[in-house]
Amino acid sequence: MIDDRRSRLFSAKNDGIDLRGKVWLSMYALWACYLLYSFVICAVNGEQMMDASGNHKNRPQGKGIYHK
Amino acid sequence: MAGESDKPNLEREPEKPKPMARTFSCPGCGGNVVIRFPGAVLSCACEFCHVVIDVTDSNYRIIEGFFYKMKGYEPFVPLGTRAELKGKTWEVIGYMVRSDVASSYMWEEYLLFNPYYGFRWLTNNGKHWNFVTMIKDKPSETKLFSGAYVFSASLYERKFKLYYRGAAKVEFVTGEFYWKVKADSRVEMSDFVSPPYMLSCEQDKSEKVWSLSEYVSIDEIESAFKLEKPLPRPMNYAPNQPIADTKVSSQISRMLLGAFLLLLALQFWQVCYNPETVVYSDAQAYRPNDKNAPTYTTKTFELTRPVSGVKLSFRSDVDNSWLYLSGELVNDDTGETYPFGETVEYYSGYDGGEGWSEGSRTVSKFISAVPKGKYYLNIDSESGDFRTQTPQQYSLAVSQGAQVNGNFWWVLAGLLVAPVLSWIVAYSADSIRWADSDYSPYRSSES
Repeated sequence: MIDDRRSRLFSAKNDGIDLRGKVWLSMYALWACYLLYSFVICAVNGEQMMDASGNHKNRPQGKGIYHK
Repeated sequence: MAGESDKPNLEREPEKPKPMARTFSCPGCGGNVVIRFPGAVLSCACEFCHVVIDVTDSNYRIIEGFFYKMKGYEPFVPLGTRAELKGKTWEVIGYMVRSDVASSYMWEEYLLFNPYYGFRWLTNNGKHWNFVTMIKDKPSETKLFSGAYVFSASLYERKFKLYYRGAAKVEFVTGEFYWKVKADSRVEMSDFVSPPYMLSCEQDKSEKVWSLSEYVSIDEIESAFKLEKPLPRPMNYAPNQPIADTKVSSQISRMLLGAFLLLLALQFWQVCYNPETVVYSDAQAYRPNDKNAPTYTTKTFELTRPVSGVKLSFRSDVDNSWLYLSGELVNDDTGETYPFGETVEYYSGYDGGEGWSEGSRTVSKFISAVPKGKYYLNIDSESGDFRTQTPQQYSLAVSQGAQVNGNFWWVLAGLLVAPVLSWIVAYSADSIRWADSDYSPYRSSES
């Protein structure tokens, strides 16, 4: 009874989120998923997303000059 | 009370439509006055001379002649116009202009009528439109203390914040009304907002009436009344206008909270998944200022994890000096190398009677994603200690499964960018909405 009354009083169609807002939220959800996925992959591989100094990650450089 | 329910009043629903309108001569000017719904209204205003007439009186007594003086107000549609709003057909039967007593700010109110559903109001306040329903429900009111004004009201668990409090008086009327309109009649008003709704309380000496307004877009009004000429657009936000940015902001905050909790769980998992273990440790002597010091090559050690981060830790007891260590981690099987270069430096002294120090005698270098295999290190050293030729020593340790805790902060920063932008936009929009209110949550108590 109370729920009926409440839903009848507050039944505005413009109470939701518009299309632009839904696109924003969807993009943010995708971005958050990408970040969390990257976090897991980096944790498994022991990788840094970014070097603390702002440089790129270390990569193998080929044959070492001091190779025995 | 006037048309408070959305349920049709079946007792009043006629089996066959009957012509109900009644016509009489205005006792003020003799003009033709039409009452469209004689049984439903108690007074009406003559559209020619604007006197208010008691339609329940057999002699059509003039209640008020005050409104005759007021001119220049024009309803945006003629009285008698029908429109479909909120899924029902309504007829405009009355038009009223009211004003705030303190500021003389005016707004328009249109009385709508449907024989089956009763009365509603359509208000035009600052070019913003609201569809208003009188309600019998008694919202719960909250005060800071007894005797204080009500700063919020709740209706069916929906909370409304106080936006406006003041007195309103009638400036002008025309058409029919369900009460006997009196000149200069005043009521105490309070508006509480929770977009897209506004809860209004009107109180005089005899009664207290609550109404619920729902924000209606101008497009909806134009479409409902089939207007050929567009209505003027507002330049600001209405108190109860839904602002998309604030809804997006609250939703994105919820998503951020969920993502943050997940990130915390993943960080905990990472700490458990990547236990750091030392696979090699060594110590090596070096001679300061030795330009021809040979490259030191360590023994071979094995990394057993399929892929892992490797941490190289160096320590030397340098004192007001530095030691630069460079070289590479070399895969003994493939010859692939991972170069590094780190400086151990530590300085200390006394200045003005206080000791100071900077730098550290321990440094570490993280190398990402090193596959398993046998490795060794080639290390060159260069010292900046020119005061001694005594051989010094540095120690090194190689750990696999090194924690990459920096990733937690990078992900957190990445997650925060969009919500912070969204909060700024929403804060800005909401503070503009509250700019005209004396009860704005964005206004400091000093201002």
